Amino acid sequence: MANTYQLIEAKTLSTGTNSISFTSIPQTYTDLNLLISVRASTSAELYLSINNNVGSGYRTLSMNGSAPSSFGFALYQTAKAYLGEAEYSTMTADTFASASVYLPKYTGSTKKTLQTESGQTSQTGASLYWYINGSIYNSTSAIDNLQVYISAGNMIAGSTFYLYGIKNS
Amino acid sequence: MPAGATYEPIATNTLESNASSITFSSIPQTYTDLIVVANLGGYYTGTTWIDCGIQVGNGSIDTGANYSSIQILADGTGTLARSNATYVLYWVAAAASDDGYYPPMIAHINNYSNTTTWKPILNRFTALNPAGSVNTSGATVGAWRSTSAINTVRISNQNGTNFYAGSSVTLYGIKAA
Repeated sequence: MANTYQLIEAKTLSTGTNSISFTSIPQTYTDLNLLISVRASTSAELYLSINNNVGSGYRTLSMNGSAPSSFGFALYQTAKAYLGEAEYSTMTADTFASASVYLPKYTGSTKKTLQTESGQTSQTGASLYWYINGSIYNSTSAIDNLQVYISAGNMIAGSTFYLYGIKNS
Repeated sequence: MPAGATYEPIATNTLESNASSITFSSIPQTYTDLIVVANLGGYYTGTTWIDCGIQVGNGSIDTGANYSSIQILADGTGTLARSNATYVLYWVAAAASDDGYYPPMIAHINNYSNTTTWKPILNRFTALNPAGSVNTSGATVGAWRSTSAINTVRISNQNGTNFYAGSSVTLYGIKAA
């Protein structure tokens, strides 16, 4: 059988920006997996929007743990899907937050869903975070466009974004 | 590093009618690890979520108390942990009728073909619905307490109801070399 986990596009920031986009995503895979390594210029939340829709229709339940002992959750009904938090300027130098976003059945006519794991791991005491997020998006349209945003400041140079396609046959 | 393919689809099972489980059998023993990607929706009257189980076996599905499974989750009102001995658990959002949402569960079954160690089974999952009555995400670590190789995997509804037609599960194999 053919290798089914294939790189669609890689982006590495050379200058700071508030958002990046993957456009004209091929419709030849079953699922998408977006891997993010990101550091921001200031404290910022990380979001994903689908097909340039930054209106309503997203729901995210975020289960989170933060060092040294907190364990909780948050419900987001926002204009975008919540992914987690970026590392930022006051954290250990040259460190980046990580996120893996899985989008099943992105070409189909079912409602769109995504599963995210992300975390900030650069610190040794406080400000260590782990997120397991589930999101739904009220649309049956095929996904051909993804945008990653931060809530404040810019994602800095060196941040990377890898979009993979996965075929189930 | 080897240049060959290492992440390959083994099989996909999409329900053409409502059913309570999806089973893969005769799984080839040629990979190192397995990944299960489930997109399920289902019906249950008791709560707004369905208790689901991952069970495995060799030749037949082991339904005995031969699993270790601990789940942590947030359910929209708090956080909790649950355990189970007869399957590796996770939740699927229940709906009175098919609402078109099939949030994912992704599981890793590592070293599934070896015959010397118990088999770890890890998953993370989403159970959300648009009405806001189901708000869950979580993760489970578990193990099948057997040294037998795994050649069959079942995803089942443990509440005795069905998954909706259109629900699907895909099994992938990953080779270490």
